[in-house]
Amino acid sequence: MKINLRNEKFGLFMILAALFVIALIALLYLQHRQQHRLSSIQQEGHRVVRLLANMPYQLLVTDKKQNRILDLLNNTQSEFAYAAVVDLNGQPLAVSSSGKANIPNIDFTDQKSLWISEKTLELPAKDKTILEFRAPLLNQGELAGYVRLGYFEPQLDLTDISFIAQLALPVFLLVPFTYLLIRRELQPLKQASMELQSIMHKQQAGNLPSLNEKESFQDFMTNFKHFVHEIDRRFQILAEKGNKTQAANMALRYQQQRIESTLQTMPDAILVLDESGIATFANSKLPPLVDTELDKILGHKPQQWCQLKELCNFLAAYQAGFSRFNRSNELEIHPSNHLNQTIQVQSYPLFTPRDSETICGSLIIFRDITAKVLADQARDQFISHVAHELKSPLNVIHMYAESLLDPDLAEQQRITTVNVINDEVDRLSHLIANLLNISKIEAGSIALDLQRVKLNEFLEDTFASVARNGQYQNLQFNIDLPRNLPNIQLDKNLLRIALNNILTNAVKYNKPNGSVTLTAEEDEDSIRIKISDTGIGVSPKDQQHIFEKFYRSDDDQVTERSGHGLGLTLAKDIVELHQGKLILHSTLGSGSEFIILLKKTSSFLKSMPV
Amino acid sequence: MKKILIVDDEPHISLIMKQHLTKAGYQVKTALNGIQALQQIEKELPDVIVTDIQMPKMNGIQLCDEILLEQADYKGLIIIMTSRTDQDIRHWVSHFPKIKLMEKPLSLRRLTGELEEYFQTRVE
Repeated sequence: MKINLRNEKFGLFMILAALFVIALIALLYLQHRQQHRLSSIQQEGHRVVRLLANMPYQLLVTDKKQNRILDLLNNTQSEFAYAAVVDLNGQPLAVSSSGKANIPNIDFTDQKSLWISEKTLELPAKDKTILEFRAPLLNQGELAGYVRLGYFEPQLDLTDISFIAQLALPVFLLVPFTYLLIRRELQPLKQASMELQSIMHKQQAGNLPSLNEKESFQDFMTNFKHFVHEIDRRFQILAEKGNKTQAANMALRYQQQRIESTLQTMPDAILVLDESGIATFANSKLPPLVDTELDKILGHKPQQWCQLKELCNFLAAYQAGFSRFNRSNELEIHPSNHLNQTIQVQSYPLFTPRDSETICGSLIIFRDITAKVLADQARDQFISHVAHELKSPLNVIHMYAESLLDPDLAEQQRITTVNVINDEVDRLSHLIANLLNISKIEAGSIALDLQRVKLNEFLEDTFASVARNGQYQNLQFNIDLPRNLPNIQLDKNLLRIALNNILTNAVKYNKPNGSVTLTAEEDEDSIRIKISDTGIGVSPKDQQHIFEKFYRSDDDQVTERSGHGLGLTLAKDIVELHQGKLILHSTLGSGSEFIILLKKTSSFLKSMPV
Repeated sequence: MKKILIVDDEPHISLIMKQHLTKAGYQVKTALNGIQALQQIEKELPDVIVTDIQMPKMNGIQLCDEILLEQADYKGLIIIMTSRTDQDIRHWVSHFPKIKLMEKPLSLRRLTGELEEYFQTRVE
């Protein structure tokens, strides 16, 4: 209310001030007009009196007092009072009067003048002032009288009052209007000021700002200054907070990057779908698998980028089944660009961190299980091979045993049959031994039984045993060893198996009248044991696979000889177990050379005193 | 004399079967694999072919395919010796009345019995 009251006073003051100004302006205007009138009367008076004085005396002074010329002057001016020609004594000779005033009697005898003069005369009766202009009147070169021309002094002319009123009215109306305008304009400023104050004193809640007696604009400026100060202070606080937030943000971003880089370096492809099935994350492993670009995956549903229909269906079905099962789900796919690859797709629901009931998306992992699938295939193949290799001798034994039941069997045939059964049992036990050794070596469960071995003796013994078995084969057996091969530490039994397998092959795959030769040589850092034959040789294609388990050549010359394809695999495994190498040089049709290379630098041989 | 062709990569098996069947009055020839068997068939059509499945170069199944597709003249029986009991082969064989399965280990007496029965029904 205080504000309003003060505003009313202000308004009243404004109105009074405006009225005063209007009055002042009107007064000044009238005065100006009066002045102007006076000066124009003076000019005219001088002019007319001179004009009259210059006229011939007879024209002005006639026998009548009434004079036409003087009458002409009457009514020319509203202020016109009289015009008269008087003689030197002041007696009127000719008179023309407006009738508003009598001509004052003046005795001119003492006031002779040959100059045009101007006098102000007071008319006591009518309380008026007359401006009188006088000029000497000459008759035949002598001063004969005076011309007197009287004008009322101009009064304040109120005839223009309507004009003034017209002028004053808009001015007067303008004042309240301006006042209202200013008031209206000031009101928001006042409010802003109050608001600023309330913002500043916000800590003191509920404390509404009270106005002091200062002017509102000053108020505003003070508040504004405070406000700016307060703003500045808050900005500083905000800047500090901003810095902290930025630091926290950077830490968060770093953590996020760390998580993302972890996800990126995962060997599996990863895809994250949100609850509406839109991809929100995918690592770099995914695009090549689904044969598209990362940009096309992110922010889109799988239906838009997934070309593999089964994968698409899987992802959609999993999405649809969210609420029903919260378990992981699996699918195996073969990417269209890598058909020999097998990718296992596993899908897991993602739960919101706070609520393990609400699902917020799904995590899909694409794992390349090609190696596993191949390993499974290899295992199945191995088992099938083993079964076949085990069954073959059993079949033979079965048939030959059955044939022994024949009472008509000749004695010689019976002996042959029993020998065959014996051979097959040998073959079977050999096969089983090889299989066991290979599986032990491959499982890493075999422990080398290292013994100090006289190499010369060991090689000679093994060779002699093979030569004895092959004595009916029409082959030549040669052994040529340096005398002083070192004593080395090795697993005698295992290495004998390896050497035996190689030598038996040299016998088995030889040609009639061929030879089997065993030599050895020693240099600074290795011992080489060479087994060469003049047999059928190994083709370059077969050389690539000859050490693989169960590998047997398609060659007729190979297939017509019995074998199960494990001997060389085992030999190689055993040599490598001794940190050595088994090397094959062969030419198809002219023989093979197997070299067992044992390095002296290996821990087995080095530590041995010669 | 009825002609039998034995196809097996195991020489001992071929040998004992040959001995046994020869004794039983058949004329027996042997082959180590499908390719050799086809060469034998080109020379002379046997009455019965007894073949193993797992053999190098051309296995028993491939051999049967070749005979059924290429050797239209062959009217005889094919006996497949198999150690496999899986349904695939049984199902496949069921389409061909000419083919008979015999499981390993094969009994020589059962084989001769089977052959005798076949030749009797064929004569009738």
